[in-house]
Amino acid sequence: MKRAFSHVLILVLLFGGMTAYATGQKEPAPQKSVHLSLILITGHDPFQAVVDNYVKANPGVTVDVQNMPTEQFKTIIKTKFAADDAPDVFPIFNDDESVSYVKNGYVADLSGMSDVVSRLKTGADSTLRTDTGVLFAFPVEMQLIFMYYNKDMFKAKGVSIPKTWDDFVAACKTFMDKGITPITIGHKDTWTTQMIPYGLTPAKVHNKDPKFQKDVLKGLKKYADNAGWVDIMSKYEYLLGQGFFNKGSLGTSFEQSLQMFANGDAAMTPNGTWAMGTINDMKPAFAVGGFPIPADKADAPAASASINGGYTVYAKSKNIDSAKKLLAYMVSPAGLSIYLKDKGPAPFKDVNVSLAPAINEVIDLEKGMPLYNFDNWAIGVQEVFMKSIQEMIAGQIHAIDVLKACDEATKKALNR
Amino acid sequence: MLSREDTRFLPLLIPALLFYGVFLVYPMMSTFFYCLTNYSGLSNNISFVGLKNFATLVRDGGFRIAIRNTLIFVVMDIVIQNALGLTAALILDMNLKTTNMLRTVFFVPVVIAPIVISFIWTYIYNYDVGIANLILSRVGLPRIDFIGNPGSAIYFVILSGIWQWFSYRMVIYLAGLQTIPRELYEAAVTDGANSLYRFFHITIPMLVPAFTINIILCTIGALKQFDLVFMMTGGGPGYSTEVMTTKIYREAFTQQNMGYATAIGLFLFLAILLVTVAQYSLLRRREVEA
Repeated sequence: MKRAFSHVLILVLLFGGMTAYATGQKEPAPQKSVHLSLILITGHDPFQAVVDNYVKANPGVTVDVQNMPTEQFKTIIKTKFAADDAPDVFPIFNDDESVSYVKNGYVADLSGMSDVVSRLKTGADSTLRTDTGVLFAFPVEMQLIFMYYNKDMFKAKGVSIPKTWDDFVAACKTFMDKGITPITIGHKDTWTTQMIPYGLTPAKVHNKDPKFQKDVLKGLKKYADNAGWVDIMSKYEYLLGQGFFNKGSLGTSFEQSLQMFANGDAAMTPNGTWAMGTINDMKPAFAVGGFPIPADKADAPAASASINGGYTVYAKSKNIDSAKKLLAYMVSPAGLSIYLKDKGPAPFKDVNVSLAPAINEVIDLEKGMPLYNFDNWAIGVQEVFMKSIQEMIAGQIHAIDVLKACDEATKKALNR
Repeated sequence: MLSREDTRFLPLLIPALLFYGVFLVYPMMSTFFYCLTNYSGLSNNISFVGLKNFATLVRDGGFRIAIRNTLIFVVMDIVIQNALGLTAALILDMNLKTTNMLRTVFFVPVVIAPIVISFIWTYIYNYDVGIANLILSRVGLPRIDFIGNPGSAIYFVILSGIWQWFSYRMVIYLAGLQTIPRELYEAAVTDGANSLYRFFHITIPMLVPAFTINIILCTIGALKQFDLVFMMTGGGPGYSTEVMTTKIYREAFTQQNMGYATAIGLFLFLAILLVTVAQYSLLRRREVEA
């Protein structure tokens, strides 16, 4: 009896397992239906509406959208590459890391999409091509880094837009003397530590030596030996020493710092065009303006503007043609006119968007200035830069130590 | 020795063994391979580097910071979580009118996802608008930069984790308290023992099995701690709250140093194994049979 029972039990469990397997299998897809996957990072949420429109216009196409913060995406995408499970369309940045994705065969060459390529503004793809000319992404936005400011507060306290570094420091002192936090910034989120340096590198570094960054990546130059970089980090340390930032900035997140600005608790906040939407959502009760972070009077002005990245297609996608069609729609006039609301200028000739007054003000002030890309680090160096700035803010190291740490990290990256 | 009847059921173990082999044993064995290479996590060009990754471990100042913070986590978790857990269990064992409500209130943090806990405490700790600093300023005390001060951030991150998990200890202690024979207390009362004497000479010795399991679970949990640190501070400011797991994560995914990261992972595995075995041996000797 026991023997028979054991045989029956084994058969039942095996049968149950096979049934579960069979029902777990996906139903065969109906003819001509395509399933795509897409990752959107924080701030790129308006693309959801673009995707919804695409799906409505293309019956049979379904798109599974995942949303995640930028830093989380940058690590998750690597595991997805390793598991051969990357989404069909995903964001990508103009850095050494992304070039390594291209070299390892994870990212498609989009050069062949001539109908989209021909729409690009001149130079808009320059940061998204490898040395061998592979176009690894389409840009979605030109991003500017600048200082957002409370126009009403500036007017009430008799402060004008600073045109030089000395004017800027004087403005900060004026606000501090009147009991107002001059600058709010969310240093807890490491990427925000870059805003002040990125605002100053065009005038202090790239305008004086346009090949500097490329030479660093070849191991020919060092950050700690560059007078411009040393001056930038010293200025940052000076602002910290004067107490011009919000107290507890290392424990304040990006959103909390923007909330502080939107509440009128601080006069200025350095950030990029991507923050405009978030500031508008917080409904500040004052007019928001923007001005480029000014360098010294002796420096020829230059603007911090970049095509910092875009969207691309997974080279090993099972639906690569459909994925390219989705991407082409995302960067079409119909797509970008939805996405670019409250964001930066469009990188395509045929896309016209009305920009927020603060961004228009920055563009007016930067008219005629050369534009420089704000970052291009060797693998792993950007994190060292950001963490070292946090250590400088905490008073654990000095400005020059930040640059020495970057040089050491660059050396390690180039020696791999 | 299994009887002939029992061996007939051995094939039923095959699915579980397959699952265990593929998702646990294989990745663990892979660790022993990758920790001896310069694998980046992306490229298929892998070279054997011998013990170079372990030599780097010894020299890496960041690794020493991670070990220090992990040990602080272990000590604080063991002491404070168990003290709070035992206290809460003793309160619940009193069978007060509010026992059911207190049980729910104590246990709610356990069922909240760690990411939500991290957001809640990041806002509580905020220097300008966080409730903790609002209370401090109302009572005339200076504001504290809880998680922005590299000297103290790790302690406040740990405290938010203790808030979440102490009730887990409470549940185990409560179960232990309820298995202590009442006759022991009655006999002690008859002999004139006061409540303090009964606590130290009956309750504590009879709870040693609960102590054993709680201390081991606390230790393992603290050694593996990741999500709270990652979400609240990202290992910052700088590297001041870095723990072993966030160090592994950064080396593997940001620095593209997968080989080195697996070496750290192997070190962590051996550390957990040794500490757990040592704790279990030490604490088992002290257990008292009822």
